[in-house]
Parts: sequence; C-alpha cells; structure tokens
Amino acid sequence: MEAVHGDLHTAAVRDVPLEHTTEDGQLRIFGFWIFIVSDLILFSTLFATFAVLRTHVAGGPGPAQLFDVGAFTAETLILLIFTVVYLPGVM
Amino acid sequence: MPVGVQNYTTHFFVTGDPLIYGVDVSIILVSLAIVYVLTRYRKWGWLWREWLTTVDHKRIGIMYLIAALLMLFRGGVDGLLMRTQLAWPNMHFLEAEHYNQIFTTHGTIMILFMAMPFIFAMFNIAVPLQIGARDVAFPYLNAISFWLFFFGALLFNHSFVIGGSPDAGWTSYPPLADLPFNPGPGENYYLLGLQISGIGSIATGINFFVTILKMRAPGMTLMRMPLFCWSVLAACIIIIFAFPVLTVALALLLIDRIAGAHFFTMFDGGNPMMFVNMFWIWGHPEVYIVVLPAFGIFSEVVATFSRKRIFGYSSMVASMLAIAVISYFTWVHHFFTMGAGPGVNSFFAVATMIIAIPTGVKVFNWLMTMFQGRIRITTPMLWTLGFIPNFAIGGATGVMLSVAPADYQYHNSYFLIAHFHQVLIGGTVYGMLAGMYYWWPKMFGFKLDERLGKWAFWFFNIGFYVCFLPQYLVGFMGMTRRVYIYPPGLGWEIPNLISTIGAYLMGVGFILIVADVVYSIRYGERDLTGDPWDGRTLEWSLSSPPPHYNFARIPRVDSRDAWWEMKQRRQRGEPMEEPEPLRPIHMPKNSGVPFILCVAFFVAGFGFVFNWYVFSVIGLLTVAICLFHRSFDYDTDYYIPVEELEHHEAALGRT
Amino acid sequence: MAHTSEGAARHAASGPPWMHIIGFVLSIVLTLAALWLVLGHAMRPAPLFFTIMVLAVLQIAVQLFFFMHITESYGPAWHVWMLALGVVLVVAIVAGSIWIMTFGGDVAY
Repeated sequence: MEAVHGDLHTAAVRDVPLEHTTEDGQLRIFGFWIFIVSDLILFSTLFATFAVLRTHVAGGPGPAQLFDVGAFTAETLILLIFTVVYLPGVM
Repeated sequence: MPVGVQNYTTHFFVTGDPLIYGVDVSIILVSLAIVYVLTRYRKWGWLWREWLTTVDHKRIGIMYLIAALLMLFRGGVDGLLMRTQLAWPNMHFLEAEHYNQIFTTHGTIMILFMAMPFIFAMFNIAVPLQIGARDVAFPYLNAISFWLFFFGALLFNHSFVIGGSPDAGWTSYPPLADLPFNPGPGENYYLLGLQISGIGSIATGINFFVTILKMRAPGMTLMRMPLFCWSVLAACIIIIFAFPVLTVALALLLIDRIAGAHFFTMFDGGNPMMFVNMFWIWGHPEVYIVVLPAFGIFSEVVATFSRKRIFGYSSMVASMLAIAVISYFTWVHHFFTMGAGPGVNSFFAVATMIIAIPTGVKVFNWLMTMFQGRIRITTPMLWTLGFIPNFAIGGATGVMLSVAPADYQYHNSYFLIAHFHQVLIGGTVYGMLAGMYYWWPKMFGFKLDERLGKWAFWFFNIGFYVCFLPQYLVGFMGMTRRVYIYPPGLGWEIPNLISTIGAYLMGVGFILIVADVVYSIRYGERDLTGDPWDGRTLEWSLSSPPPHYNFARIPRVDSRDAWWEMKQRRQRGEPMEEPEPLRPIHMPKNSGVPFILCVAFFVAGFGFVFNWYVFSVIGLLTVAICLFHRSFDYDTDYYIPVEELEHHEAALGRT
Repeated sequence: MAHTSEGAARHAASGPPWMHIIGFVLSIVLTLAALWLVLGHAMRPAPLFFTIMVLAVLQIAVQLFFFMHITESYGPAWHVWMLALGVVLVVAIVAGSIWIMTFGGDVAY
C-alpha cells in the first residue's frame, strides 16, 4: 500500500495521466472498471427480463401508453450534457 | 393452501416448537455468557479496536473462518435433523412445515453462509501473503464486505426465532415463494439476507481481482503466481459476472412480494420460470465459485506434501480459466424438465459435458504431481487424497445428470441430492478443511493436532460415503428430494437408515475437528519457524502469524514457487542479496464505519422483512451518511516509521 | 506500461478540450438519429431494431473512448478484456434468456 511502489519506481511517470500517477489512483480506476463490468451484467439481466416479459402486460397499459417521448428525450439530453459540464472545472 | 398452516409464523416470535424454545434459551444463555466474559475481562475495547474495526486482511480472514465454522455447525445440525426424520418410514420427529423450513435453511446456509465465507476466509488469509502484498487493494471495502456478509447471515438466522424461517427451498422458486402462497416474513428474510451478503460478495470479487492483477510483488508475473491465486482470480471473474444476476433476481422477487408487482406471479402476466432462469444463471457459476478455490488449495497442498512442483502448471491455469467461462453456459441443466425444447436442452447438455473435460485435466495433474513424489500424509494432504475419488464419483454422476433425456428420470430425485453433496462436500468442504489445516499455523502460530485431525478426517470421510452412496440408490428407487415422510414397503427403509448413520458419523467428524481446535489451542505444536510444512510459496517466508504489515521488504520473485527457490539457493550456499534498507510502510487506518454501515444495512433489511418501513428509511439514511462520511474522510492511512519496523522485526527474530 | 499518447495529449493540450467536444457532439447526434428513426417510422420494425442496436453500440463506444478514457491504463489493459468478456456474457444472458423462455411460442397473457 505504498503510494508509489514496486515497478512504478523505475517507470517514467512523466506522461502518465494525473490520476494514474499514484498506486491508489490506479487501483481505484481499475476497480471502478471492474465494477462497471459487474454493472453491465446487472443491467443486462434487467434488459433480459424486459425482453422476456415485454408482452406480458395482462391487459394493462403497454409501452405506448407508459413512455412519454418528450420527457425521456429531455432526460437523455440532460444526461448527455452532464458529461461535459465538468469541463470548465478542469480546463 | 399453506396459508392456514403458515399463519402461526406471522407472529413475531416463533412459538409452539420445543426445538425452537431450546434454541431461544441457548441463544440467550450464549449471549449473556459472551457479554459477561467481555465485561469481566474488560475486553470490549479490545474487541472493538482489534476486530470490529480492523481492515487487516488476516484478521478479516479469521473472522470469516469463525463465521463459516459456526454456519457449518448450524447447517450441519439442520442436516442431521432432516436425516433423523428420514431415518425410518412414518417418523414423526419433525412436522411437514418444520421440515420445509429446515431443508431451506440447510441449503441456503451451507451454500451462501458457509461455503462463501469459507472461501473468502481462504482468499483473505492466503492471497496477499502469496503474492507478496501488504494488504488487499481496497482494505476498507474488504471490511465492508465482511460485515455485509456477517449481517446478511445474522438477518437470515434471525428468521429461526423471529417471524419464522423461509420454507420454499434454498432455490426459493416462485410461485411457492410468492406472497399468496408464502405470506409470512420467512421468504423476505431469505431475499434480504442474501441480497445484503451478495453485495459484499461482489465487492470481494472486485477487490481480489484487482489485488491479484495489480499488487503482485515485483517479478511475480502471472505465470509465476501460486495456483491458489490463479484459482481465486478465476473465482473472482465468475463472482463479478454471476452475482449481479442474483441481485436482480432477488430484487424483482422482493418487489413482487412487498410491492405487488407481477414479474414471477402465476397470473397477471408473470412468468415464474424467469426467476428460475435467472437464479441458475447465477446458481451454476456459483458452484464453480466455491469449488475453484478448493482446487487451488489442493494444488498447493499436493505440491507441498509431495515436495514437487505442481505437474502441468499451465494446463491447470488454462483449465481453471476455461471452467470460469464455460460455467456460464450450462445453467439450463438445472431445469431441463421445464421443456425448453430440444435445441436449448441439447446446447446446455453439451456445454455441461464439456466442462467435465478441464476438471478431468486437473485430477490427472494432481495425480501426476504425487507420482514419484516424497509424499507426507499430513491432515491437509489426507483431505486432498480423500477429495480425489470423491470428486471423480461426483463428476461422473454429474455427467450422467447432464444427459438431458436421462435427466428427466433423475431430476429432483435423491440421485441428484447425492450428486451435488458429493461435489460440494467432496470438493468445497474437503478443500476448505484442507486449507484450514494447511494455513492454520500461518494464521495462529500453532499447528492443529495431527492425530485428532486424522481421526476427524476418517470419521468424516467414511461417514460421507455411508451417508451419500445409499442416496444414489434410493434416488433410483424413486425417492424425491424434499419429501419429509414416506410409507414402509418401498424398499427405502434400509438405505435411508444407513444414510442417517453416515450423517451422524460426519457429525462426529465435525465434533472431532472442533475438539482438535480446542485441544491445539492449549497443546498444539507451536510454529516458531513460520514454515512448518516446508512450504513453497511466499506466505511461508513470513513469521507465524505475520506482522500486520506482512512484508517488511517486498520480496523480489524470479521463479514459480518463489520461497522454495530461495530456500534451495540458501541451501546451496549461494550468496544472498544484501537486504534493502527498510522504508516507512504505508498502511490503511482501522475504521469503525464499515461496521456501522453494515449495522445500518441490517436495520434496513429488518424493516423490509416486516414491512416496517420506518426502520428501512432510518437504515438507508444511515448507509447514505456512512458513504458520505467516507467520501470526505481524508484521514484514512498512516506510515509505520522505520524505527517501529526495526523494533517489530527484531521482536520476530528477523532482520 | 501501455498508456497511450491520447492521455498525454490531453494533459499537454492547453487549447479547448477537443476530445470532449467531439465526443459530446457525436453522442448527441447518435441519440437524435435514433429518436428520428423511431418517431419518423423510417424503416420496418426488424431493420429498425437492428439499426437502433448498431447506434446504441456506437453510443457505448463514444462514451467509452471520449469520456471514460478506456485506452488509458498503467500496465496491461485487463479492464478491456473484462469488458469484452462482459459483452459476450451480456449476449449470453439476454439472447439465452429469450431463447430459453420463449418455449412454446411467446404467449401474450
């Protein structure tokens, strides 16, 4: 658990992105990726459930009645805009 | 329907059964005894500082081990109760309802609250030491994982005395597990207990995956890693890919039960088989999660006690990775009889047969490792030797079950029961006991007594065959799983009686293991060298037990079986490298937050079980506060100064 | 030790963060294209479904490359292997579940 240990000492750390320069940072980024992978499976299971039970609505409202196109378009765009709002902070 | 039968369980405390009153009394007595001892000897502070708040992987491993042994005891008692009920036709030892609860808790506890913590115990104890690391990648998360498991298990076990145990089988299939057929809180306990400990399992999978890939000592390439670490890596891959599916399955069933949804109900568009489908997408990989680490332990044990390098290292690695991937494509063999059609059943039958091949490769490698080796029959080696024929039989019956048309005959019969006990006990339990005996001196600084250990092994191993071989037979005679009573005259009496005798022999084996532990605490051979077995891997280069920072200097590795090579070099009198000067060691600080966080999870879970949402809100808010606290806590680590290191190392007799 | 020049370039660049801007524009375009295809009934259901899936995969790629810096790592890129295996297993779960659960035809209750 040293901040910088092992073979990192010998490696040139100059042109590595900032968040990869400490061992803690590297571990966290890698762990985060693996967590994303487990989330991938989690959501794919939800998608699979949706795909299998899609038509099983028992006479209730279907997708056409439930999904509000305007609302989810707005939500998607807001979500995408959030991927760049942090830019002024790092520039 | 069972609604009327189950009404009595909807009261808060379970009443009316002398067995449960007995348990009530013993729980109160044991709790009082623990409180008394801790207070009498002023150990509360010690408990909090040294154990409840620890982030040290070795201590977390020991806590996992203790929990796993306790759960082995509880699950074992459940098993013995069932075997007692089945010993003879028309027994009235247990009522139908009670029997249902007991086979449910037996299965759930043995898989999720015994096998899982047992493998995690071995992960924690051995992996960082074997790869030359000072802790896991995320020590704080590791503590959270343990406490999530602990409180998940605690929540599940509460069902026994508060509210009533789940009774829909460890697989908890709807519609039986759905609200109309199962109105009590029992199934909620199952869903939430598993959910909470499941989050911990995913975190452990991620943690050890990262640890193994990123924190190996310099020079330890992947192909120089001990095979146990490879097996853990393969198991972690499966955990990461399988456990989220269980999370979803449990969550949707919970939504069905407490929010009136219709994912898996019989009517209103639900499809119960979708739960079965998801359960086994997780469930089949799960059995490989618990058996692969056992394979890893056998590989370590066989090599150490044959004084030989493991035979076929790369084929061992390849077969474990192949198992990890193929295990994901076999899940339908658990419900061939659903009748998904010839295409589906053929695909999954063939995939199931294929997975037997890498497993066979491993068996031959273990045998070849022993071939012409100088074998020492120690207790860990004995468990390993016992495992091989066991697993060969279990594997062969597994291939029989994988033949889809034939499976229609075996499905849910005692043949199946015998098969999976053969692989899960013969594989996982034997492996974990081998690992426990093998690493015990490393954990505690003394060996377990060999004589008692061997007695325990023989009782357990013979009892195992006596218990389960008759079950294959009685399965062929038509006895199905989960029957609680049977009439005389079917020819089932004698095999069942023999099986029950075998179960009690295994119980004696377990008692002897406990006796071994108790005896050895006082009289066990002390391990002063740190290398009691003449081991091959890096954990044996440390003192027993190792200091909290593990390695004062991170070792440099240039071959497989690094510690063995170092010893060989020393024996040949080759000059040793001048040790590097000590440097301050960066360590994580202990924290009480993981414990509090998981208590909050427990409170929230308890609220959901009884639909007392005030508890849930309070619990989840506390969870949020704990996470928030961690995000802004920058005081998480410290350095051990060189003087202190020198002091520690000198005290251990090492320079 | 395979960190890419992309990461380095990101640090060295003092001008506008072009990578982010390109990624942002691409993600918006892909989203609106999918929306237009569906709302405008531009294709028959089967090809439409296929096209939307392709757009979704592209969207994932854009997010991974431009915002999540999938190419940056210190040491071997194990996370890419895990993601790839993850994608295979996602297909196994989704396609497998549909295959298994549509036995006897997909009956609408």
